[in-house]
This record gives sequence, structure tokens and C-alpha cells, in this order.
Amino acid sequence: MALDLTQLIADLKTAISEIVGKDLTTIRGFQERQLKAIAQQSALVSTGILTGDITPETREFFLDGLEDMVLNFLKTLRGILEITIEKAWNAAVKVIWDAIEKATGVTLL
Amino acid sequence: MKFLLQSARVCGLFLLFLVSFSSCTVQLAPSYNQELVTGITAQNKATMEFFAMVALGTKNSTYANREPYYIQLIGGFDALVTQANARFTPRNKIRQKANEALKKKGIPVLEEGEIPSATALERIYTTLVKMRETDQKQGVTFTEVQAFKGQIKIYMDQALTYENALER
Repeated sequence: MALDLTQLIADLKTAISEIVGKDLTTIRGFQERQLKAIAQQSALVSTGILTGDITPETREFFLDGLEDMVLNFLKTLRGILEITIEKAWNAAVKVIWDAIEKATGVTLL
Repeated sequence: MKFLLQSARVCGLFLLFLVSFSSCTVQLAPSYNQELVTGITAQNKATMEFFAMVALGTKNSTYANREPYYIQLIGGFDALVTQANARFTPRNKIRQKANEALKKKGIPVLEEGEIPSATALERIYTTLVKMRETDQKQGVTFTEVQAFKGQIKIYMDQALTYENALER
């Protein structure tokens, strides 16, 4: 039996779209939460330094912390994107594999 | 005979293609660890309860009352960092190439073997250590408590979001 290219393309689209769509929702939510929280933290630290409620003992620690939080936020985003790519790749491979099995009748391990 | 040999060669090549194709699935990130996620969730609860207790600020004269809480929380996060890092982290050439290109442009990268949730947990650990030192030395003001808590919540979100994303 010949491999149905039209069906294969449709199946690939469905598999990848499902994964990317779901993960993008997670990424968007995470991004919004983080940006809002980092902005609030910046405002708190800034006001605290002005009023003296953030003492010289902790000032540098919080300022360095803001920079580091942004850096690890971006690294976390990249990490999640890598997971999405991994899932999309593996889903696509499975779809192609299933199509070959169906067309050839050979069971792939 | 010649035909048979040619057919065998074609079949062999096809099987080779199938075998190599079957190994095309990839792993780009560490495996999911339910026990670790449970540990982080429990530690998050304990940390927020501690912050509820010190919400109005602290005085160094009463530090001794809080020391057991600090010990428990700091020790707990230290253990979680070890647990998060003690996993197989896949390495691949595509990531290496991407990192090289990003580094050339001065963009910070996720280093080989670096797990962002482990980094976040390590930062929570250092935040609590700094809070303990400050508390012991001079006490912690109301605003400083809010800032320590805010910093920990941001890192906690990073750690939990990444670890939950690993469940695929």
C-alpha cells in the first residue's frame, strides 16, 4: 500500500499543533506572571532603598537578585522551549513511523 | 542471481533506513521526577508559612526563636538542589552550536548540563541564607521581609514551572 502523503501531512500538522498550542499557553502564562512579579519586586526594592527600609546590609543583594532573576527567567523560558521542541519532534517521528508501518505492514520496534 | 542480490541490497538499505529512523526520537531535557516536584511543593508551603510568621519584620534579639525554622528550610532547599542536579542531562551538538552563536552576540545562554530549576532552587537557598544572616545581625525590616519573600516566590515559580513542563 502506498503511503498517503496528504494524510501524513495532515496528521503531522495535528500532532505538532496540539503540542505547540498547549505549551505556548503555559509559556505565555509563565511569562506574564514572571514579568509582573519582577516589575513589582523592582518597585519594592527601589522604594525600599529610597525610604531606607531596605538597609545597606541587603541593598546590593536585592539589586543583584533582580538581575539574576531576569537571567534565570530567560533560561527557564529557553528550557521550556527545548522541551516543546523535543515533544514536537518525537510526535512527528511517531506519526511518520506509524504511516510507514501502515504502508509497509512492517512492525517497527 | 544478480536480481536476487540487488533485491537483497535494496531490502537491506530499506531496513537500515527503518532502524536508523526508529532511533530518531530525541531527549533534549532531563527526565521528570515526581518525587522532586512533591518535595519542592512541600518546601514551598513550609517557606510561605515561615514568611507568614515573620511578615511584620523581625528583631535580632529574638533570632534564636527562628533559628530552627531557618535550619529546616535552608537544609531542605540544599537537599532539593542536589536532587535536581543529580539527573542525566542530555547533551547535543545543536544546542552547542546555538550557544556559540548566542555567546558571540553577548546573549546569556543555558550552559551544557545546566538545569534552570536547579539554579532557581539554589538561588532560594542563598536568599534564605542571606535572610538568616541579616536577621541574626540586625533583624529584618518589614520591607526586607517582603523583598526576600518576593525573590523566593519568583524563583519558586521558575522551578515549579520548569519541573512540571518536564512531565511529557
